Amino acid sequence: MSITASTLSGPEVLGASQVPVETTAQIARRLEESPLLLEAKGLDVTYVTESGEVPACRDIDIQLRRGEILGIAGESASGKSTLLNALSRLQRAPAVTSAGTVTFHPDVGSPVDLTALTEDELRSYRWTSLSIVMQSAMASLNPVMRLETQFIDVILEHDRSATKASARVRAGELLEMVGIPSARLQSYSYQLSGGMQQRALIALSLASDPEIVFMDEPTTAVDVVMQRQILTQILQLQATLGFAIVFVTHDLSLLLEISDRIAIMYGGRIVEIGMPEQLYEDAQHPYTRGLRASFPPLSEPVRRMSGIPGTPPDLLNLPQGCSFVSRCPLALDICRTERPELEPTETGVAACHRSGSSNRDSAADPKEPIS
Amino acid sequence: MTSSTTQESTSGETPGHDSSTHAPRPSGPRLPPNLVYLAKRAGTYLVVFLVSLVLNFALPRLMPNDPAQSMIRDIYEKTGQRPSEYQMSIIHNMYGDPDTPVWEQFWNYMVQLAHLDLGRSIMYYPMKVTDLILQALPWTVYLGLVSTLLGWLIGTYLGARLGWKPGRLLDSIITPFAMFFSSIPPFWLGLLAVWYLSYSKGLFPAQGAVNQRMQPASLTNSDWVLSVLYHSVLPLIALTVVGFTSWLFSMRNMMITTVNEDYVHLARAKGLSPERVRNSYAARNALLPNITGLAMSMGGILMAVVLAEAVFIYPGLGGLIGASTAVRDYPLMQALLLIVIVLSLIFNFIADSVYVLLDPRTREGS
Amino acid sequence: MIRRFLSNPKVIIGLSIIGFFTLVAVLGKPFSTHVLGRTPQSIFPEAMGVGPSWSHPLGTTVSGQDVLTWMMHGTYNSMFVGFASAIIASFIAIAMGTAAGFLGGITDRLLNGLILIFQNLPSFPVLIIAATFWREMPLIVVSLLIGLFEWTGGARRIRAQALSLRGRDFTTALRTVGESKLRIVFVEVMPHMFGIISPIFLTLIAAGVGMQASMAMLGIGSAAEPSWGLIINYAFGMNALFRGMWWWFVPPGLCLALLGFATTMVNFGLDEITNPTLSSKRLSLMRKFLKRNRRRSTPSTPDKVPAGATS
Repeated sequence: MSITASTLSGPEVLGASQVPVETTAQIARRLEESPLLLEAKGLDVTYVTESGEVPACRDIDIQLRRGEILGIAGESASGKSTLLNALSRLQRAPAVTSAGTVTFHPDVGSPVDLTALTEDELRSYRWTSLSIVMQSAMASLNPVMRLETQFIDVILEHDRSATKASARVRAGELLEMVGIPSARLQSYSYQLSGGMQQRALIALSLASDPEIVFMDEPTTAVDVVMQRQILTQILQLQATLGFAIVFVTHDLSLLLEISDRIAIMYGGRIVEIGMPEQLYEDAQHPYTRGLRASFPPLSEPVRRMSGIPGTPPDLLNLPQGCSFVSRCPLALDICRTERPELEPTETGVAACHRSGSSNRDSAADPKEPIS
Repeated sequence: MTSSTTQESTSGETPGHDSSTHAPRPSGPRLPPNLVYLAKRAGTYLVVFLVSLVLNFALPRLMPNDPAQSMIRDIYEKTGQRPSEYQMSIIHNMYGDPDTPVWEQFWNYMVQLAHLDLGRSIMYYPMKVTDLILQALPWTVYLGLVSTLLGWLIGTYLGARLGWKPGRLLDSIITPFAMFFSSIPPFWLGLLAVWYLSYSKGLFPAQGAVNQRMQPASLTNSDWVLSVLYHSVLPLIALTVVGFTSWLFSMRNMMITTVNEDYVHLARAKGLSPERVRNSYAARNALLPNITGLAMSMGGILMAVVLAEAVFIYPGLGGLIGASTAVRDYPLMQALLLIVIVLSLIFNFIADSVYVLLDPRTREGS
Repeated sequence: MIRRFLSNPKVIIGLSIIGFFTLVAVLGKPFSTHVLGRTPQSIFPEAMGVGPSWSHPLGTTVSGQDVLTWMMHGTYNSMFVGFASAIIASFIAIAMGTAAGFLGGITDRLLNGLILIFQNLPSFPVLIIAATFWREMPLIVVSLLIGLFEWTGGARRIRAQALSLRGRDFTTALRTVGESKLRIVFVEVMPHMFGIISPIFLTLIAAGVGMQASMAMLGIGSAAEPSWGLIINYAFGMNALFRGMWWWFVPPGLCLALLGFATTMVNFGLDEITNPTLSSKRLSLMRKFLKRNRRRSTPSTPDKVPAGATS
């Protein structure tokens, strides 16, 4: 492990401006050159409940490349967290992966389908390849265990050469990396502030030098100031250590700022994938445009917000056609009868009868703002 | 929100800044929270003790019969002479004296208690009540402690195993079994054991705590110790088989809830061994309510022990309670009431202290 | 909610058992007196201490009394104590719990202290003492005393519920409209309390019956009012164990166990409804789904359960 506390901690941890800003073309080239890391194909997740089998995720095809920051956005119940849990192989009952594969491409060796592995076989991939930062740090830290113990056990688990003493040193360095004094290792989670808990959790996620860090709304539980600070730290750590991030949030404007690519989910399906600039300028799916319009961008002047009328669809009772049809201002007749597939567009992929070159001319101007 | 506020605030607070905000309570030179917690509990128990003193004083005075009169009569019948002056004063202190005001009576009663003078038994007149109780106490503590610990350990261990993976084979066998046994009164189970295993099959002694011929009665005499163990097998089984069930249920349900907690989820995500996740993350947290539960159920446990002692004619407090109830040995009964309450409060406090050791948060209500 | 409650098999079994005992309690006494023409005092000199037979389905005692008749009277008295003490304890619990939860402030702290004291005071010795001082204490007084000591658990749960209801929108809204606190409590909030009060009441019945049986086991109670516990006590006192007269002491204990079992079943069923993770139904659904799904979608790994499928 080459990173030490001195490279990242201290007062030089500052604004996002330090992270180099790339153009969309540069990002695209970087992604193209980067090898494949994780790939989901035809992934279905079902919730088995008393009231029925809920199709929480359907036909998910998505790729993650090394060093990529992939954002996943959607409203609550859109299936975004479900997807994250399926990709990280951390599903909890009653969620079941009912179809498809999640293929992990290791640095050396042949690709492996994670969905076919047993829980025991998965253990060798956990934390060294796949780690996670969850939404509530308070709930994610063991309340009756010192922070130190929670770092040391995972370091010792995956690094056979580590001793308890070296693990303790490493734990201290990890904490310092996110700006927490290493003396805090002796604390229990309830003795830390909310922001500190969240940063400790991020430090913990990096303990075994992972290749992918799954982040499930890691900044939702903290205030806006802390949110900004944590995001900056994540970006800096990512730039230094080079891990890939799958970042799930309902906050599209946040993703627009930090992601290399963004997938938009609705009703358990991906409805659009694109680069931030493309989605900001020229989103193909009306839902994406609605999402964009309902959040204030972090670094733009104030303007009037508009939301998306209606409520997310009932997953147990999805419409025959496009699941967004009841809320869509641009719905066509075909939208009610036929579900649109993800098709390549000029800027990415989208699942909308209105998008794509074939329908373009017949549709109203898609750039026209909603409501 | 505008971009300008964002930029300002970003540079405004550095990561190390909030390191000064730690404990949720305002800091300052105050006692550690765990001591505050224990002190609060001790305070509660003290109040409970005082309340029980008042009850002890008031109950005989509230009852429609006059226990003082009936007691004087009982002593007269038993010894053929009127109680001495000293006995009369104790009787009056304890059961009311029509000639003195209630407050003075209460004061005299307290003074007498302060001298640890609980009077003399009627049944074993003129034995001192305190001597009788001291003889019986070790037996009750032995039965109670061993059966409680056994039941708690078995129940908690099984509950942790079952709750970790509910619905498995072991769960579908043990849980219904425990549901059935949880409802059986332990004293009745003891009766069945005496009837079937002692009288019918002759496997175990039906009553008593030790074979009286094994002398001397000392822990260094292995014959005596073996005899004690042998005699205690049935009462311990009766108490433990029923006793472990409630710990099993609460641990199992708590475990099922805890397994869904984020910190257990994260521990699994860390790739730790299933044993470590189960023991250090899930069970370690699920355990806490079972310890609070232990503190709260001491009264009930003592009741079960006392009843089992009555069934097995065990020479503990239960035997004394049964006997003194039958012949209405009031001084003995009142002393027994106090000692049982004090015992249960002491064990409450021990359980509380264990809880403080295991939960760093130790705040009321958490 | 109530329909779901009543469709849970555990709840149905539990309620049926409780219903059965209640029925026996109501009909048993007149049945034995008028149909069988027997009272607990009737003595059958030709059948002393004999086992079950057609004329004495549960046998007779050493002194030739019909055990079935005793059991019918015993069921009445035991259930009477159970219901009476449960009514008294629930009443106190509701009063204390709602008052503490809704009035808040100093009232809450005082009542909470009272709850804490009564909770830590071992009720059993106090009950015994009280019962010994009052020879032949009538069962209604026994019930009253049991009720006075059994209310704390219920009061705590009701208080917690009241606290959460107090914070809800509709109570706040009613208060701003100017509804009186009492009216809010009785008309608007009580219906919401039903869900937690009914299981508390059921538990209290079993607890009261058990407590009375324990007291009777120590000989407290009068022969004029036989109860399950007293029957066991008599059997024990008259050496039924040594004589092997199981028909005398097994039935009352079995009834105690069954009643307790019924309450446990209802509470378990209720837990499954309110906390779906405990539900055995959901677990079996998961298993079925996985079985079906594995056959269909992952033929390549037939011997492995895909990870993440369950956890």
